[in-house]
Amino acid sequence: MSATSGYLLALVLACALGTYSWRGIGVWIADRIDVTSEWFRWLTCIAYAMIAGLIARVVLLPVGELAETALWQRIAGIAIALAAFRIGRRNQLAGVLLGAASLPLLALLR
Amino acid sequence: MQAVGAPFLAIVLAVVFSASRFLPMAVTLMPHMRHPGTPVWRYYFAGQVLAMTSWAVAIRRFPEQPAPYRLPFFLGFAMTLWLCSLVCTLFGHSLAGALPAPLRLAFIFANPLYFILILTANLSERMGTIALVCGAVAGPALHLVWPQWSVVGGGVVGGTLAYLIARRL
Repeated sequence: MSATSGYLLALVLACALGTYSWRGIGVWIADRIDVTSEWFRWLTCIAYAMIAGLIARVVLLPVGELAETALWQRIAGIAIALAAFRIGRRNQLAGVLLGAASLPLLALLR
Repeated sequence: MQAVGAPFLAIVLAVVFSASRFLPMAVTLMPHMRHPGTPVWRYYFAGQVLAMTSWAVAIRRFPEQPAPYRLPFFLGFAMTLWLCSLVCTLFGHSLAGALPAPLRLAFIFANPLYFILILTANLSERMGTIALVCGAVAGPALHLVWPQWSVVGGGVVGGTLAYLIARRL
């Protein structure tokens, strides 16, 4: 095994441990928490907020190719996706397809 | 990150920080799947295959499912997603360079769109809605001043704020 593959293997293992620790601790806590408690309600709020924060970051502070589009274009793309979802009888595929297709077209408008 | 030569510790830390979201996700999901007599290791395994999509879909579907069916449903669903994403990542990685730029942009944008739709599709609970809004503001705001802590920090700040607001309403 070369030095590079040894390095990569160690990296993958360290990252795997890093991500599994959170999951394992989460399951351990879940086994002991009272779901009617205020702690549980608070952690539920945190879970929702974390996910919303990650998605909002992709839209508001994008990196890479998405950063080359304007904010209004991305917001408009989301509006189109939500509208297609509502009009298309809550069809998620319709929402994602139309919303995603709209962004390259909107990007032409500038 | 490997491509730009980020040092070992920086990569591991970035993974550890971004994976912190799995803790509250696991805590909020597992109790729905409780059923007497289920071996504990199955829950730890479910924690391993947990991802954002399987979490969002399961949380939404569980109320209509009897308790004994929830863990098998989740494992089957989450493992299928996991396998598909593995195959699709390989495909995507090798295809990315060959795709025309507009198509690539559409694919990239599909990712946040998809999550916005699955998270807002069945928002019936007021607390969840408030938490999504607070998190969407707190996450990016914290990212501007403290990028490494934005996942944990944005979740704790936005989530706590949402919890306090929901309790007052």
